Amino acid sequence: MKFLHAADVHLDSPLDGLERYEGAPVEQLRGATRQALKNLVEFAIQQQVDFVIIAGDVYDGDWRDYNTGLFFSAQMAELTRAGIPVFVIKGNHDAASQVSKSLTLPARVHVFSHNRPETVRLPEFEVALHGQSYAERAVTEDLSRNYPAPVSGWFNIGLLHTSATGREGHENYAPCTIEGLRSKGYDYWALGHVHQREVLCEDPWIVFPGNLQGRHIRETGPKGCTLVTVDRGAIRQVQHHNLDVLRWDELAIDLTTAHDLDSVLSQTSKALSAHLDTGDDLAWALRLRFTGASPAHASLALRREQLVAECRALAANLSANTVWIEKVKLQTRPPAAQVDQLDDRADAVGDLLKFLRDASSNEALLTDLAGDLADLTQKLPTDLNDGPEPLNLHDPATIAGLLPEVEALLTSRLLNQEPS
Amino acid sequence: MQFLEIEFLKFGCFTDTRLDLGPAGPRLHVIHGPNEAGKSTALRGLTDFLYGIPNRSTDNFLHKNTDLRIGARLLDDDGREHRLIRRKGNKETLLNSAGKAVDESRLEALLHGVPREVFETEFRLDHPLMVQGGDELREGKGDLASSLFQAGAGVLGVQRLQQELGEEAERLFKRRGSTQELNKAIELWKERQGRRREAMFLVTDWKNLNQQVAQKTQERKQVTEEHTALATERQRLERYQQALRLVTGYRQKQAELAALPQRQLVSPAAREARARASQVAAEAQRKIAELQVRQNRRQQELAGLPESGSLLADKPEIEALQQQIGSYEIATRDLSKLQQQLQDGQADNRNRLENLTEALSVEEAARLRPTAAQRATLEKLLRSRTQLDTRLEELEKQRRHLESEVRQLEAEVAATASLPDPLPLRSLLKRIASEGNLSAMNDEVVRELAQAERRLQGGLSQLHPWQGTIAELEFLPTPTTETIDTFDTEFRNLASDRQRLDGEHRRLQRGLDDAEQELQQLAAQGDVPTEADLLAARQRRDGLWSRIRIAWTDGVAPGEKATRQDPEENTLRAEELESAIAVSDDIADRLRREADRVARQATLLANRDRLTRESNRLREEQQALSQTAGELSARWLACWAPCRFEPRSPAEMRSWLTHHRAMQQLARQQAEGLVRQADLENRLERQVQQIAEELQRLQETIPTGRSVPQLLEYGTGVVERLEARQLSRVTAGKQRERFERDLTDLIAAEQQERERQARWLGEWGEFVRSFPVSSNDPEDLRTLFATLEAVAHNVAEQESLRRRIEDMRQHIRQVSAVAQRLARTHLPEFGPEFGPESPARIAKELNERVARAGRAAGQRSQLEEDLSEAREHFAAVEAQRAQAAAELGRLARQAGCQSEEELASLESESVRIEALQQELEGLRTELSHTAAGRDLDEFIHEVALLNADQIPVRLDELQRQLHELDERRTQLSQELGQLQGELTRHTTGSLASDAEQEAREALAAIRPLAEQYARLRLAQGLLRRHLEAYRQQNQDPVLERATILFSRLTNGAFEGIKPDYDEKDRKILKGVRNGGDEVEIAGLSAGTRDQLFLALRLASLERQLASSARVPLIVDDILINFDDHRSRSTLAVLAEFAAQTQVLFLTHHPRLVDLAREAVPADQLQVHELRH
Repeated sequence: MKFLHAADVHLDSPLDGLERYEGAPVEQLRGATRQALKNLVEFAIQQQVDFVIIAGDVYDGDWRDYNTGLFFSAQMAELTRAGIPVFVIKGNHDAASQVSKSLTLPARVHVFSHNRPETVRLPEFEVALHGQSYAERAVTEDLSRNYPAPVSGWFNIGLLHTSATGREGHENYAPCTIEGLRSKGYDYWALGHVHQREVLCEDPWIVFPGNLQGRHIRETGPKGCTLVTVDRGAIRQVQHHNLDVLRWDELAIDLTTAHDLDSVLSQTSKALSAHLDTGDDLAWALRLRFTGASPAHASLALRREQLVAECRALAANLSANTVWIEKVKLQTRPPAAQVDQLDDRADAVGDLLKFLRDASSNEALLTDLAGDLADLTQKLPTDLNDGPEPLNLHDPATIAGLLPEVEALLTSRLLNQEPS
Repeated sequence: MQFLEIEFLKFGCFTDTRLDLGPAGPRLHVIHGPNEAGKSTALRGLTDFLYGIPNRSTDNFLHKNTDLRIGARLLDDDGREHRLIRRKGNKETLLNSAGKAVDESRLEALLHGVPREVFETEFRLDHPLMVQGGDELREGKGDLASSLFQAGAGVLGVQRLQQELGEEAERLFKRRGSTQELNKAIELWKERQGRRREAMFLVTDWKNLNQQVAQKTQERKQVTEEHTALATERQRLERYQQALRLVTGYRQKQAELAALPQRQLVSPAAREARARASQVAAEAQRKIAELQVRQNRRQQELAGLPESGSLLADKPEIEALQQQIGSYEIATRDLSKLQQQLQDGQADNRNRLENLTEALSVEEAARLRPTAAQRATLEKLLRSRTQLDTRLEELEKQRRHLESEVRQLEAEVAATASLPDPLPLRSLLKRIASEGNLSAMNDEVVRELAQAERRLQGGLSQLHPWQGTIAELEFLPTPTTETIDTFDTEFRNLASDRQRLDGEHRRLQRGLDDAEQELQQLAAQGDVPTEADLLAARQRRDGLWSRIRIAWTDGVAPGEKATRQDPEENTLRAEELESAIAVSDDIADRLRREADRVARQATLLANRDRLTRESNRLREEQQALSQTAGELSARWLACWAPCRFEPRSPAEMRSWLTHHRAMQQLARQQAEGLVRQADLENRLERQVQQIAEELQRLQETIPTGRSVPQLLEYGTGVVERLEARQLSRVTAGKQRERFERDLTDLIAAEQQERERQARWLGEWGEFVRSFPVSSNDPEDLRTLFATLEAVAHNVAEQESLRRRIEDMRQHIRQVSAVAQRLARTHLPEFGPEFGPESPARIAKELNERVARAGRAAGQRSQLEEDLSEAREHFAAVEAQRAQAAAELGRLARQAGCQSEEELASLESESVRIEALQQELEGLRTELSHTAAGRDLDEFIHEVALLNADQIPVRLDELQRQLHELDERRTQLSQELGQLQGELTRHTTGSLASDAEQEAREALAAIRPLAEQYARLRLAQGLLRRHLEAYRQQNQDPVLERATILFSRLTNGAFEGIKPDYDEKDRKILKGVRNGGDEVEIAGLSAGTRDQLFLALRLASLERQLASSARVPLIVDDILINFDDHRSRSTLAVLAEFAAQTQVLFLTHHPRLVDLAREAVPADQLQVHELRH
């Protein structure tokens, strides 16, 4: 017997933080979450699995487009036409979703009740599935506690949408402990909610398969589902399978030895090539993070826009337009010798540097500086304040975060540090 | 740290060049190097020594990279000496005096860790920096914060940077902007948000749409059903209508058939056979007529054709003749021309031979025709002769030229036999020049003296009331500025105290007057009762009462002697008491009733007392003040007593004192000037003397009344002239020797050529002997050769002509014979005579006749063939016609008809009957379709009974209803299509999520722009805040010092600088001229701005040096825009600055060295010459 365990489809949720530019893989981006779901259906049919489990969050909570529901229904119909039943629990997003409330799903798609834990028996495989959907967005009690006892002699699977013992970046819903789950005596716990794939326990198997498609830079790495093979009531294999169409990753590039923009680009080119050589054949959303005490530090601060454009062109050329450079993050610092020299300056420049260094811990100054940006802050979309990496320009902490680059910009322009 | 010695061992243009800057001590080092002396290299070398020679150094053109070395002896702040050497390389480049690598930190410690960038910006001053600094002061309109910061940082462009940051930020975003990148990005995001909202397909939308689809589908189903029912009825009615028409036709045909007679009919086969036979007969008849016409026409045409048998027999011969006619005509025409050509050729030969010097016959000429070898020999001889002649001529010309040159040079050498030696004069002139332009210096000194004198004289009069001479000025015992300042303060304090007391006095007096006036007003309104009045009245009342009481009780009032009771007196007392009670009550009442007035009066009275007391106190204070003033004035006068004049106010005297000091300074300068002038004049006189002596030795005229520069110029002229002559004598001698050698060579060559000429003449004589030529002229022989060649060529041509003439004559004879023969046979009408053109005419005529005969023969044979064919055809057609007539007869008989016409009538009747029967059958078939399975005859009967008029009316009605239903159904289908389209649009594809993705992309585009805007604005804001903080911290000390330096650098033209505000309330700097006028920075001259920048820079640097490392200050030719006075002042300031750290002043200008010597005391100055 084989079954697929997936979760957190977040169908039609957009990919965040990708600014469009010439040469970016726009087509791969379009409908990425839908394509990932299609990949799931194809994989299930190809593997001839006996059933599919979706452990919550099919939809994205605020998303109200009914078309999304119809698409999901159509994909489920594909599965059921191929004789594969589907078992779904509603997660926090589904509970909040308008779409899920009024959608009719194909007959062999079973959605577990949100009133109480429910058990579905599949006598042909001697499998019992236990699960409970979310009734509302925020479920704070441990739902698993009320799950029924296992069906004796059968293969018991628990479906649960949970943050387990708590995971960073995820709301702490339906918390539970590994011990608590183990104590139920089930053979497999199909969990959902945490987007990072994780195996919490192998006896019994307690698995977060992660989401199907990464949606922003906080969701890096391969994404997909888990294929579970059971033989005579015992698990033989638990295997991850990638379904994503565009993968997120961050490349940290150390520029300690780079002297100018050309050598920065040369190193970037090497890093990108190495990444593409080892990676799967799909589109990438990459963040480039430049680090290290680099002689090119000042030059980069001065020529930031050019650097970004060159990196994008480089990526487009190397990958035949399958890499999207999401962001170029400058975290370089001047070489230690330069820092020492500047620190030692007893003149007005030295004073200025000290002032700049001290600025990040001067709360009153930061608040004052944020005031300088009020014109812009009023006009910026509030959506920028949400998401994985919010930009709150009225927040002193955000201002402090911008200061290292401001310092590089100011000192390099003031001291004319562009290398000749 | 300071340099004791700098050694450019191997660096740039230097090899082992040393500058000895010792011994240690605060001195200004002026390093003078003229252009090309390597000043820039030395500057670079200094920095490279301290911080290493860069990889890309260009100072390796003389010494190899590996050999480059710069050394120095340094003194650290603790007084220890270090000798270090710098080599070029990547590591271990710092060496000790033994050449061993030492750690870089040793030098770093000496430099207190000051890095190269800081050294280059902070501890170097050069002219471009000064100019740029001055320009920025002007551009920044003296903005105080940025000026102070720039002076303190040694960097420039701070204000521009602030402005650029602002501009760059504004290019990204403006609050009310629309075209800025970030504004546009935000707009795009809003637009996409809107599009996303529009594309969103909600559950309610989906339900609504589905409901509408179901409704419309149901409606369309109903309409379709209704339409079907009506269409069925219409179909039935149309069938009946159609049947009605068919039944009528059917009945008519039946009647028509019944009316026709009943007899045997002709079968269609028989009808067909008859028609075929009739057609054959008629066709045969028509062809017979045509053939007869044709036969007749052919016979007539044959009769008309001519005969021409013999002419055609001669056709080949006639055609041959025609072909030869062309060549015959050419021969006739060319014959005479060729004969003439032959005669002309013969005559030409004769002529040529007769023109030769030795006449020859044609035959001899042919024999003598020269061979190719002979021709070649002739040409060779002629060429050699020309070459010989040219060469000889050239050699002769050269020889003559050389001989003339040699003669000239001999004359020149002889003329310059003895010349005097100009070398001593040259050395003298060089030495004098090296002493500098003493005349100009003298003029300058004289000018300065005159100027000082003028200023002194003018200045003395301004020193009123003091009157004295310039000499007395120096020793006038004036009080110090500080003393005057103290007096000034005291006088001011006194005046301000007096003013304060006067003011207070006036205020008190006003108070007193006011109080008095009001009291009078109160009194005028009636007397005001007082508490005292009340008290008095009550005392009086109480007194009276006690007396009465005593009288009542013991008859004796206290204090009175016991008197007897007098009733009258008692009555009086009682009245008195009543009156006293009334009075005191009245006063008490008024006090209560007029409480305000009472209180006001009490206050006024109290005030008046207080004011009077204060007024008395003031008076005392004023008296004390007057006394102090007297004492102060006495002290002030005593202070100036030694100067023997009465001073004015301290402020005036301070200005007087400043002026007096300036005068003193001027007087000192004048005295110095006089000494310098005397010295310069002595030196000048000595120079004139020396030049005159040298000129005398050279026996040159000595010009009188000329200045030293003019004498120098004159002397230089003399030296150059003498040297030029010496040089030309030597050159001429050498030239003559070379020319004589050349002449000998030339004469030898000429001799050789003449021998060659003799050999040629021998060869020529030998060759000419074989030919009949009398002269020796080579041209004659060349002419003979040409004639002989031409004659031989002509003879050959004439022979060929003769042969062609004979061939032509033969051809003409043959053609004429043939033509005559043929004409006799076929053209008897031409007669026996022929002209020259006759053969052509005969040939043409014969040809035409042959062509005509040929054509006639062809026509005849064609006509005969056609005629025979027509005859054969005629017989065949006749047989066909007979056969057809027989067949027709047979057919008529078979039908029982008498004649062919009768048969035709019978046939048409049969056809009509058959047609009717067929139509009836057709109608029945059609009706049976219409009847749709019903019995046909019954149906026909039924139809015949229908009302034909009602059917169309009903059909029209049905048509209208059906049309309406059709339209409704179409409309419904369209509506359904639209609804389903919409449903499809929303249920397939991914409109909303795509729109959402695009909106997110727009949002993502905003972020980097917003961050960049923030970075620029933050950079701008931080810089602005820091500049302001820096200003607040440094303004007072730096400006205080800079104001002193500025005054000195401008030689007192400016008192200093002061902070102020501009119209935008911005803190700025202003210059204060001597006399107090304030000038904005833009109003300063370029030089003064440079000095202001320098003042600020030095003030900042002093402040910085006070708290940090002492590193030598390198000053590179900064005085380019300074006049001599300000240059002197600046050098003096730099010399003082040297007390704080070592100062190296590099310059190209010797003048500055002199100025430094004038401005700086000898013990504070050290001058070095830089040479490589």
